[in-house]
Order: sequence, then structure tokens, then C-alpha cells
Amino acid sequence: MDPEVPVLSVIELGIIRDVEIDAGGVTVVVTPTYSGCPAMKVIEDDIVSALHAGGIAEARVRTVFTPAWTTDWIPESARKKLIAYGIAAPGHSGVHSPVQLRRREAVLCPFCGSANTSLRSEFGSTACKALHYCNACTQPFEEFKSI
Amino acid sequence: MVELPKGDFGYTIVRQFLFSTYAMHQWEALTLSTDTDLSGIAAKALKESRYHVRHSAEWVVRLGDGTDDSHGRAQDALDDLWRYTGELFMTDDIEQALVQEQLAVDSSSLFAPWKRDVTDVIARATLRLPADAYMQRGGRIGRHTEHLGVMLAEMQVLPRTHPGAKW
Repeated sequence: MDPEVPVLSVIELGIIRDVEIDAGGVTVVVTPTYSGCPAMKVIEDDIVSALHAGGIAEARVRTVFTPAWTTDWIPESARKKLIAYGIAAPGHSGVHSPVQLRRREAVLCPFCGSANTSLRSEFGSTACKALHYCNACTQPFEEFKSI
Repeated sequence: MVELPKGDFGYTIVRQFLFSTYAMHQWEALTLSTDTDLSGIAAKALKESRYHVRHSAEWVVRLGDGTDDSHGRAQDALDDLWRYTGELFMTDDIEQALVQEQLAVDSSSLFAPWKRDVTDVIARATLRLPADAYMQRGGRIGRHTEHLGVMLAEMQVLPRTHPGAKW
């Protein structure tokens, strides 16, 4: 589980890129979400602990950067879990013009589903989230940003 | 430029915009590096730096095209910071050697796309682009502002106070 978003597993986040099994043990190949995300270390430790608990003594985590992680790898089922948890799901990352002012797509409120929402801050409680406000149900909420 | 004190919000934002726009183009060019670690990190960093550019560019427009006070402060910041932008595009022999091996980017090649983006946002912010006059230089050969000393002291205070500290 992601410690900051405890409804998504590492599989659902799309950060497990490969699992290598050989005589020397098991290596889980992981790609980081955001550079500098403090949850990555916890996630790596949790993966190793889970493998140990499963009886695999030689467990390792290897980090790869290519291809770069994108929120497009989060499946629809996991997006529903995010919304149920109260976090707006990321839109599709797409290709942006060099300097894009204002995003085009509306961010839907995870509580009432309204599109009548406004951005309050590009940075929320973690680097991967933005803070919005729902004008319909007057609730502030966070959005998992698309990258 | 990045070792200067924060200043007011206008100063912080204008600097963030000038630098993030530079970083975005640098990362974009580095995605073509022959070093796969570097190109991988660049592809990742590029996505995040686009976000930084959007965030700071929106604020530059908001401040520049805002009240008389916010416009004035943003213009003062731009005028103050401009002399530090020239150095971003200066290259040297070490960089050129890396460029020859297609590992790094020629910093001077980043100027045209940077200037295009900056000019566009500055115009939308109703701010005035400063003239290219005297430019600070010397960062690459170790000439820094006095502010770097304070920053280094701040970053070193913990290990110096508690040698061997771990957490």
C-alpha cells in the first residue's frame, strides 16, 4: 500500500515494473512516482518485509527510471477507489504545450461529482496532490495530479 | 540566481518561473543523452518541471496583471533578477567535452526556447521585458554570492552539531 494513499496497492499505482526470480532470490523492479517522494523508501521497505513474511529470505528492490512513471498506469478500478477515499483521480497526462496556463479539463469533486470546482493550490498535502474547492457542496478536496 | 534570498512573494515567483522554464528545456534536451540513467531521470524530471512552470507562470500573470502593488513588485523582481539569467546559457570547455560525447546539453542552445517562453508569459502578465545589459557570471568557476555561505552553514548545521547523527 502507498502510505500516503492507503487505498492503492503498489500494483495499482503501476510502479512494479518487473519481478526477477533466480537462484539468488527475488528482485522487485520498481519505478519511482515523484522524484523526492518520501513514501518511496517506506514502500521499498514494505515490499522487502512482505517478501520476508512470505518466506523469501533473499528479497531486494531495484529502481529503474525508464520508462518514466505516469498516472495513466493507474487502472480505472483503482481510480474509483481513490474517489471513494475522497481524492479526485488524475486526468490523462497527454502532451502539454511548453507553457500551459490554466488546465482545460474540469476536476470533478470526489464527494458530490460536481464539475463546478476551483483550484486553490497547485500543491496539496503531498507533492503529488493539488488542492481544490467544490463550489457545489462547499467541500475542499485533493486531486491526485496527472503526470 | 538560485542562491539569492527569497525576497517577497513576487521575487520568489518570478525567480521560480525564470529558473523552472530553463530547467524544463534543459531536462527536455537531456532526454536525448546517450547516458541512459541521465536520460531516464530527465524524462521523469521533465514532467515535474512542466508542472513547476505552469504553477509559476500562472502566478507571474496573476501578479503582473493584478494590482498596482503586485505589478510593481513583479516588475522590480524581474528587473533585479534579469542580470542573473545570462549565466544560465554560458558554456565552458568541460560542458563542451560532454556535449561532444552527447552526454550533456550545450547550455547556449537553451536560450532561444527559454526566451520565447519567457517573453510570451511576461507579455501576458503585462510586464516589461528588461533589456539585456550587464550579466553576472562566474558561478561555474566558483564565484558565488555571499548568500551561498549562509545557505551552506544552514545545511551543515545538523551534522556539525551532532556528528554521525542518523535518523
